[in-house]
Amino acid sequence: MNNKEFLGALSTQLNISNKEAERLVETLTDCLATSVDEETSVSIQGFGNFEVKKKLERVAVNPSTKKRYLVPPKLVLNFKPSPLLKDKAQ
Amino acid sequence: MDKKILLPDLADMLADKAGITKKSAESFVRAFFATIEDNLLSDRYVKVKDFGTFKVVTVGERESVNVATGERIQISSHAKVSFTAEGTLRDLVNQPFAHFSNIDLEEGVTLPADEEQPEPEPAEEPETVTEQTEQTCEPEPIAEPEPTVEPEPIAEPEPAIEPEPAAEPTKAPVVEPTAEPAVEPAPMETQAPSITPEPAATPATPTIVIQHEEAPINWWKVVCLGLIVLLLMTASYFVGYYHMLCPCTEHSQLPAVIKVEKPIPAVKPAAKPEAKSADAPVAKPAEKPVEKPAEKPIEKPAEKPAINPANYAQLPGGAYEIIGTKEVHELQTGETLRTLALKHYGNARMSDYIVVHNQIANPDVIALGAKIKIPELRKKAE
Repeated sequence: MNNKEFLGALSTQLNISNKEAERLVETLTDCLATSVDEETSVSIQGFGNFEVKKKLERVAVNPSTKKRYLVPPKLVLNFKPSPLLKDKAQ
Repeated sequence: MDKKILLPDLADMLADKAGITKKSAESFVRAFFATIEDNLLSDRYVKVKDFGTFKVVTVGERESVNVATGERIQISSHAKVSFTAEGTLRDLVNQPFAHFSNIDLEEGVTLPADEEQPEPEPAEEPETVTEQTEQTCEPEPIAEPEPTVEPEPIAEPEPAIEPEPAAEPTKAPVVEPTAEPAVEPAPMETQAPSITPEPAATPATPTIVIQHEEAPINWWKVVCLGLIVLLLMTASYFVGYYHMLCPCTEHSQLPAVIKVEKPIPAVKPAAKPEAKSADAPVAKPAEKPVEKPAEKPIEKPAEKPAINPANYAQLPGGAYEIIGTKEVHELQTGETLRTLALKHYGNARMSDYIVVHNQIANPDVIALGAKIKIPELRKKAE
């Protein structure tokens, strides 16, 4: 399911326009992004946890050119499905 | 993860940002995740723009080892929900590290040993040296024999017009330490005892010369260096700091030269405890010379018996105690507590004592024309 279909499903369910749904999704993304950090996780019951993991810097090699790069450390948003969702996915 | 944000919190935030009611925000958030879940289960794939992609991935069966028993076990094939953040969400989460970028490593570059910060000491040292001659005393007291210490406090209250001998023994120690920072600390121990007893009754320079002759040849260079540094510092003392002595000069009829020597006896007893109290050794020695010559002849003798530090607010952990108000100063344009401290004690860091003495709540904001009480300071007894 792509973004368009997702927005369509969401808007019909909530009786709002596609545009409004899109705006709300964007705002929600913003909220989620600003509220999670290394100490804070967002947990949605029955769905899963969003938490930030720090990836340390590392050396990567371009396999074709054999050139080495130092990849900087970064913060990555991780999703951990709740046991409920896991079970359903089976 | 110390804090957890739950769905209602997220809904509240959304309501604030999107300008919708909390109720509709919450129903939207619920619907958002419910839709993802439903379609994830049916389509195994949901992509939300600028948010991320949820996928159900089938993991093949594999063999593993039970860590506890060492048994080989079979992990059966199962489905896994994976999520990859995309676009805005990914960038916002990574914002703290966004300024990093890939670095090409040249051939043969060894991997990054952490760059060591240059130590602050080398930078500070020249500063402190120029600041005051007396500063150099600070390492020395440790090596110095006790007897020389005791006489000084007695000499302190005495009138400023003192025969050279008083300045004498003190001058000697000043010379040695100057050399020390430049060279190893070891020399000072051997040198200090030999010189302190020296009863030469002449002004500073002659004593130094005598030292030269007495010093073993391998110390020749050290002493030479120390002498140069001392000369430089004395010069800078006259050039940079002499004007600070001026306002106080009127009281004592001494020529300037004697005064310069005078501070040194004063410094000695004070500097000694300082070395022991770890508190800002750099700061302390500096103030003495300026402060002492000014006050000593006039106020100290009279005040000494009467003072009671308990009457005044004290600076916790300070090497000095406040024993009275030296004078009241009206704050002029362009003056700060630091300049006041510099003027009265020869050291801007002493402004803390002024702050404490005046009970100033916010030292950064002081009204123009405020009456600032300049505290009279005394070295704390050990």
